[in-house]
Amino acid sequence: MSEFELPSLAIVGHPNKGKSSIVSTLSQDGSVGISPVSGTTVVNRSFPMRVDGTTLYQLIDTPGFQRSRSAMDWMQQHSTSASDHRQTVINFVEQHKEDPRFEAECQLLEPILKGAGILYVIDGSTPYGPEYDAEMEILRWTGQPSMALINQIGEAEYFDQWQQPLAQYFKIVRTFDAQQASFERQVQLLTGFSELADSWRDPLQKAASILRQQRKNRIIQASDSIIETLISMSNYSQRIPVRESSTESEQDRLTLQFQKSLVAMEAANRVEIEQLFQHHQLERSDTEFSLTEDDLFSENTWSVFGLTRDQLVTTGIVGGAAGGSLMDIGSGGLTLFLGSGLGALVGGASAWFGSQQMIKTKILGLPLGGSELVIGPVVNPNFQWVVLGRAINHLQHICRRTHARRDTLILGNDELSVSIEQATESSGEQHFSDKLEKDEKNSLRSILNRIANQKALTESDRQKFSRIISRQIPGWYE
Amino acid sequence: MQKLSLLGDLIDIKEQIDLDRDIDRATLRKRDREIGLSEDGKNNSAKSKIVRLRSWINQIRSSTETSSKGQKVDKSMRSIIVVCWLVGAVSGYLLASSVLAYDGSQPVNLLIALLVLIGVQTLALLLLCVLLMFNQTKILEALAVLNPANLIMHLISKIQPTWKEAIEKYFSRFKSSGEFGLLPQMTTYLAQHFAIALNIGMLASLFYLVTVSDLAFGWNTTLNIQNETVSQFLQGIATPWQAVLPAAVPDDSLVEASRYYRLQSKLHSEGWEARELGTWWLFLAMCIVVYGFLPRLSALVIAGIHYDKCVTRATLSLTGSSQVLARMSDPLVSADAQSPEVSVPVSVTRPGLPGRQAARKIECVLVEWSGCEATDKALTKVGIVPHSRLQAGGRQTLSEDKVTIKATSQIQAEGIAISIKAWEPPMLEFIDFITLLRKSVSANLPIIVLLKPLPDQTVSTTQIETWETALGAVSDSALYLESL
Repeated sequence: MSEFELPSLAIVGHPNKGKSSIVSTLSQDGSVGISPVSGTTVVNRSFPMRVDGTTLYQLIDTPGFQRSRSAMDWMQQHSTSASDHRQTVINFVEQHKEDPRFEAECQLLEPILKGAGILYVIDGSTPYGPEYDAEMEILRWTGQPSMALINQIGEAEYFDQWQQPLAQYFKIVRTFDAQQASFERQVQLLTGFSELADSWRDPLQKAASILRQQRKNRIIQASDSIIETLISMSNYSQRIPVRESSTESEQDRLTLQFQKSLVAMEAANRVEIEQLFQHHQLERSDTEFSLTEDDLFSENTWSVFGLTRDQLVTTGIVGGAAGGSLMDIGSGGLTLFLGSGLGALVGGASAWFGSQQMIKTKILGLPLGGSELVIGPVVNPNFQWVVLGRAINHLQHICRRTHARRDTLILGNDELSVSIEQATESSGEQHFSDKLEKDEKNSLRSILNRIANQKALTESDRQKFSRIISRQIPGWYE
Repeated sequence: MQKLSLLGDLIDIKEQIDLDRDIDRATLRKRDREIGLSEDGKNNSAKSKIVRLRSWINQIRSSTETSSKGQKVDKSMRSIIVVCWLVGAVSGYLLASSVLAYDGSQPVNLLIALLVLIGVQTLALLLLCVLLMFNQTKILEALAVLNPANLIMHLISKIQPTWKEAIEKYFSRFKSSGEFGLLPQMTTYLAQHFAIALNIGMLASLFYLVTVSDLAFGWNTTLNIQNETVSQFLQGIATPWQAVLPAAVPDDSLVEASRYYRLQSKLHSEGWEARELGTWWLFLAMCIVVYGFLPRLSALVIAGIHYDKCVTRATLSLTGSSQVLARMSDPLVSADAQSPEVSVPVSVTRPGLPGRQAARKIECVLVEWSGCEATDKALTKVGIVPHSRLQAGGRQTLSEDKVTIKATSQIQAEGIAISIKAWEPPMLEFIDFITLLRKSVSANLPIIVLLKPLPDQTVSTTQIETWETALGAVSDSALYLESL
């Protein structure tokens, strides 16, 4: 099947009116050059939508018209009647394809003459002017199915002014905001292209269905990634061996390092989600949360043979009880488990009191144990809520953001030191938990408590959690 | 490449997921989708997921020449199992040899033999069952120091660094979080290998001693316990094999005859041949088989199943494993450009347009480009007095533009002003017009391009810069740019 038997749409128009923005949004390709300087696009670029190697449709980004009046002038001079308009355009391209003066015109007309439909883009925030007439006339002369798209930049206050001239040249006129369009709006526009040709309906419907499923999968994957990160951050602790010469500054250093590690985990999650939604070039400004010593669990601990004091005492108790039980068995039960009890007591006490001595004991110059400083996990009860809130806020922004946007993503600020309510007020955005149903909120509280207490989540908990996160995303459907 | 154990695959899957972090997403999606398409399993069960993940790592591994960490860990695991068997068998042999040591002065104490050879390991097995039943993995971890398999694992880690790394790096998360208890499950599983070998060693020792020496068994106690009670107790123990091997079941008379008192230095009952006291060995052997070997065999199977489940859970819970599965099952959708962008380099250093002394008013011919009207008031503000107004661009034809250019050149004025819409981009058509215009007038005659903003707005910096860049490329020293 030739590439133009598939739904193909050439995005054409005046320079700098958002053609590339529309292509960038519909193809979810943030690498498309979008610049206020006109003439950024100098050659056609094809954006085929492929599913496992099979192309369903293609968009073609084209350079803007540069000398439309000159081109129209040539065509009018070489046309004898309305019936040869298309042939005249073909002749124009044939004769001028090597002419640098008409490089843009030849480029943009080439796919149209090969069978691509026309999507003529204008900017609804600036008024109509007669300079557009020539290019619209040339497009009409090609005889290809066409649609005008008013790129609704800003207020689009000249929308009405555009309606009449566009209606003269195009049967279908639509509006679209390439910067702000929701995902569903993007899919609607895509399926709307089937109005240009009946044969496009099936592939475009299929593409829409795949894009919706892809979106759903991405949200689920993003939710899973958030859950993983939250668990890792909640479980995270750091430890360093403590020497006798260790100072308080070492504890401060470890606390700082601990916080940096948490921030890095969160940042890695942000990048992963952005990559998942193909926002590869995104610049983000995010405020790091800060932790105080009160937020952290910290203790001086030690180990012998890699066992903590509790583990060592348990081992002593069980070992002593096992030894004592031999006495009980030997006496035929007449000792009434006294042997086991005494053995456990002696074993446990020896482990407890002898452990300090064992730390210092060296065998072949190697110490049996040693003290270490443990920082983490975070004990602030707000931690999981705030981290989750920040992650959902980021995910919401990412899901709302079209690929045409080139501005920096600015995220809100949550602090652990204040309550959830205060934190969300300070960020200027409503915390996601405020929108939850009562049952959902209770489920979430229970799940977050499990995570805070470092208990494993069941598969059902994970699914429930993932669903709660997914439901916070605009346009999510079950 | 040989297939690895579940553990080996877990290690390699984790390694690969870590390596994949440095590979771009598109490449990963393509690679994993291709693997996914070659797979049959599409359902979402844990079993299907683990099969797909293992198939994924197998296919990736098959493309590399070097041996993976998973292979090395597998090799270490096999070494540990072999050492467990060797140490277990030797320990069992030595233990039984010492318990059954008999120099003819005193018979081997049957009760001590039962207690040491069967009792201790039965108690340990019961404790293990209770701990596993109540999921007390932390106590299991604490008791690991008493587990011979654990000691062997740590000994192996001294000579095989990969195993040490595996314990420290890969199992630490599962160990510390208590989430999967992978390490306790592994040591429990390995301990069963050790225990089976221990029982085999004990049986081997027993058979050896029975074959090459004359063993005699007896029992004694200070307590006032009747022979019948002991007989019932021992027959109770022998219940499992009573029907199939009656010769291995002690009868009352044998129990009574085997009781001895050390002071008497001879057997309590007269009339019994010392040879017959050796018949206890069959009972002892059956005790080892039924209460030692077989339970440990069952425990090995059960521990193996638990261990596999644990590794499966750990694999599915690996950060990144769900992403791998998603990449395998989700269609490979791409809608991005197939070729790199070709852009005209925008000159950063604009040639710049010379500044005009706007304070001095000059009389100009005003050309309104594409119907861009400029009011006298706006023109006065920038020091321009319109001499006459002409049209160009927009709906005008090129011939009409030429007429405008000709007319402009014929009017005697101090300069030419062209009003243009600031919000529209500079088109090459306009540049053509400026170039033609310059050719028809003196090179020193000022041509002033006036940017007109949208109603109620001012000309933006971006618009000025865009126009400066475009007009700067004309290289005309008498071309000016101003905003209305």
